[in-house]
Amino acid sequence: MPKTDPAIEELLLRLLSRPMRAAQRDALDNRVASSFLGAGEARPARTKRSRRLILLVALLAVAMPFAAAGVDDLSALLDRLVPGPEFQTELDAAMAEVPLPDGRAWPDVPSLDAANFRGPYESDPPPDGDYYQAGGGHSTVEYIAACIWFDEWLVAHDSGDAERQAAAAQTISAIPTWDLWTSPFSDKSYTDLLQRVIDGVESGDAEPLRQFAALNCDFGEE
Amino acid sequence: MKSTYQLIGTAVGDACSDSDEELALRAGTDREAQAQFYLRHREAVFRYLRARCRDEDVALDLTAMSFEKALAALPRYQPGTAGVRAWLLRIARNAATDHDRRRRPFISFWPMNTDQPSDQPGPEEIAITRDEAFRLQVRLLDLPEIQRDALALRYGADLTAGEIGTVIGKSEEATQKLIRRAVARLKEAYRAED
Repeated sequence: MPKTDPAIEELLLRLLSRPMRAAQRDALDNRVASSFLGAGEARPARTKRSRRLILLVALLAVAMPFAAAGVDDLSALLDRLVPGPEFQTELDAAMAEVPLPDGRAWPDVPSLDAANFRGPYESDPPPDGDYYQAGGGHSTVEYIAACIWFDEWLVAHDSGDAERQAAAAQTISAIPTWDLWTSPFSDKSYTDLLQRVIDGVESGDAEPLRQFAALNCDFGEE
Repeated sequence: MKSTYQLIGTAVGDACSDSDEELALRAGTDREAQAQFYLRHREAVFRYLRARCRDEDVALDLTAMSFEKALAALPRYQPGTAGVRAWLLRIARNAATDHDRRRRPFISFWPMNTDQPSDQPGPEEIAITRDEAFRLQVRLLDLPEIQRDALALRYGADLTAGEIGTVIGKSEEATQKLIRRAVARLKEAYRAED
């Protein structure tokens, strides 16, 4: 039991100067980063398509290396930032590896082109020298693939094509093993949302998937 | 143009040797300096507000609000005798005061860290610290608000007596007396329990 002034002071110092927890730091950084945007940047006029793209990017946080990293030591984050051309290499490699349904192709969208990538509230492509978080490209590609598989399942469900529906369901059920689910870009609110879709697919209920796709699967395809 | 998120990310690793004043002046117009300003001062602001508030989530909200206001005001910042830390903590204090006027009438206990790195105390030591933390929080709430505030600025935000005086509107000498009286009062409260 503290009985002297120095002991009281030491107790005050020990308990009041504890650092923020990592989760608190991330939450705070997220919010302040959003406030920067509200305070300083001129927002371009947003089309309906770009609002959906904003949601996509917000979910993946490819252009938010700091906010989405989930790392305790911010200085270590720089090791995971890569320049645009390297990011494009990651995108291309992922597109070669991540499977799509037969007959489907990757859409021609800004999210798959580092030179023209649009973050939220940005009207112009990034200039030379911008950096992206390593791994974000692979997650972006998987996210777009997931949406394509969701559409595949819906088309099969609505047309009564059981075999095609089962093939799509098999891939969708494996999404929890993807980087999309397990990477630092993901969090519980996001995986909970995806789990609802997966549960619906596995039970034959199309509604969660329809809702998800309507809100989150428009990538601004040209 | 770099997005704000990229600025915060790239600012992390920049070696910024600017003094607090130099950084604040640059941050009036330079977005990278704004990010660095935020990163440099966020712990101190949060610790003060956590010491002052009854809820860690509230402290986080108020920290964010304080920086929103500070960043908006930086273009008008003029160096004063007490410095930018006092300026920033005064913004935080005003945010806390405004919140206190609308606060809920219950106490929430500060949660202790659950994700301990390997060099942190084990469960027994955490249990002892939890008890100490609870008792200290109760004792702090018994203090007059200005004493509690001074302790939060001193031990949470690590301000000097002069800086604290600027924040709370007292001279350095008066602030030193205030802190001594607050500590003595805590000491007396613990002694009365024995």
